[in-house]
Amino acid sequence: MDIVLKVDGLTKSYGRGADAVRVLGGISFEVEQGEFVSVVGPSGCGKTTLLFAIAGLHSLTSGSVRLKGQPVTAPPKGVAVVFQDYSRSLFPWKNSRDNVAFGMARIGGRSAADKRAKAEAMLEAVGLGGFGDKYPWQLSGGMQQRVAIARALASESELLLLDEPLAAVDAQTRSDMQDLLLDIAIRFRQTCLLVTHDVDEAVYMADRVVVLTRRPTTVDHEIRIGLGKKRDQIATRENPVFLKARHDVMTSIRNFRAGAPANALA
Amino acid sequence: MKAGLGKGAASGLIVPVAILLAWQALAWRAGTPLFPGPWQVALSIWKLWPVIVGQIGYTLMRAFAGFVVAAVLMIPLGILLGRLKTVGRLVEPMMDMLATLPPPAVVPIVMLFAGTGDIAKIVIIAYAAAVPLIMNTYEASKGLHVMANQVARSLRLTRLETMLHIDLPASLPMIATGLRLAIASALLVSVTSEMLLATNGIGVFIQRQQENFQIAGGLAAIAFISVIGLIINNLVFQLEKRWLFWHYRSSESHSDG
Repeated sequence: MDIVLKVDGLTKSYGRGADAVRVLGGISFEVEQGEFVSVVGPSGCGKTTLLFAIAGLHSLTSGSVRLKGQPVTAPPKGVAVVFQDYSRSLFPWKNSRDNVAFGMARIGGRSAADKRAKAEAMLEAVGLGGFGDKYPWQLSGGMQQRVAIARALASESELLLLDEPLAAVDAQTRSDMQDLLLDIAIRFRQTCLLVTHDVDEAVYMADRVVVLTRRPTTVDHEIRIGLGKKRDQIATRENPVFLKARHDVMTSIRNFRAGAPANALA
Repeated sequence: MKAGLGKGAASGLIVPVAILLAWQALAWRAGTPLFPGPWQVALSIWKLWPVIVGQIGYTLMRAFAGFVVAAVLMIPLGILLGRLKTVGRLVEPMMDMLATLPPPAVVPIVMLFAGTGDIAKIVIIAYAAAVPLIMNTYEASKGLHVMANQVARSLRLTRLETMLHIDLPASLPMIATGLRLAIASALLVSVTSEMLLATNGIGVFIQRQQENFQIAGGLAAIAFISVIGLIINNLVFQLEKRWLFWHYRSSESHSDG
């Protein structure tokens, strides 16, 4: 299997000298082509910092991030990000179609008409066919996040980074969106890296879960979720494999939280 | 500022009509051309309108030129300074200082470099219009959420593309306020600069009329200016509704969520 992403000894500190706070303390893991990997850890362990470093949006203190062998120093070609805060990541002056087409800003050799057609197709893929003319403020939260997902898909990325994309939507929309993301990952053979604080979601979505420690954060262990690509909100969540993985991850995270000094829990 | 129709418009007329009637009554009692009533002013408008329109043409052209110069320079500069936070912080105190300096105060300095012709007036107008434009654009650009920048970077936009496609539209609601203030300023200073550096234009016309005790003629010109101001204001309002609908609509939809 081809390795799409290789994170090696990644550290990140804020501040300098005696005041320096080490958030990430040497993280290493890999993501293979076509894999769906979840990263989960105790609150405040720097999951989003990690994801932003992989996206080339934050600098690293040491270590390396390689995308298909190429070191990442700035946002690389072939990585798309779906941010948690969809209300800020979409542009209210653009309708859904133009927001999605904007994801192709850096893809050369396409006419504006091609981009619009592709944008419509991507909206269709996230279940928003016919919503191209609607503006973000005319859509519900879940629909806005689907537009953001369509925009990420439109950029034809090697790796889709999902930064707690469903943290701000209601519970029912959330399970629908989990299935939508899984369906998209399969249909577009999209390699995905999901960062979430929700253990159930991490296990439900992933082929493999990377469990992080508390700060300074490292990888505690990884679990392969042997459930196949097809998941079901009811059956999968009752499957002993799911329950065992959930138990394992929950236990690790609870231990980290229990052992955490008071200031790290804030 | 809603242009109400029917009942609202009718009740809105009560006060102006009452003022006009009272004014006319006082003018009759005074019985001197130094205190003309609205009727004499109306007669002057009828008699003088070709001259007034011609002179207002000069005034508006210079106001427009100064305004355009200011907008073309200050909007990009404001966006840029908002992005380059360090440079922005360095020039901010200077901007605050210039903002409180009344435009007529710069007239002698401008005259020194640009003489008293059209260029000098346009420079002064541009200076007056620049202040609200740079302040509003800079504040808007500085206040943009960090998220917008992260999205731009992850879409691998160039700096120029980010400023053009994200920073500019996102700052537009505040820039619009700046533009409205700049237009008012440009008109005001265009007339004032004519009174100081007299050659032609409506400011000169008003001054000459008053020097010759043609008070009604001066008031006729003032009536023209206020109508033009009203028309421009309305035009800007219509443009704003057209270009910023997303801003008004999205703030409506956020407030109920």
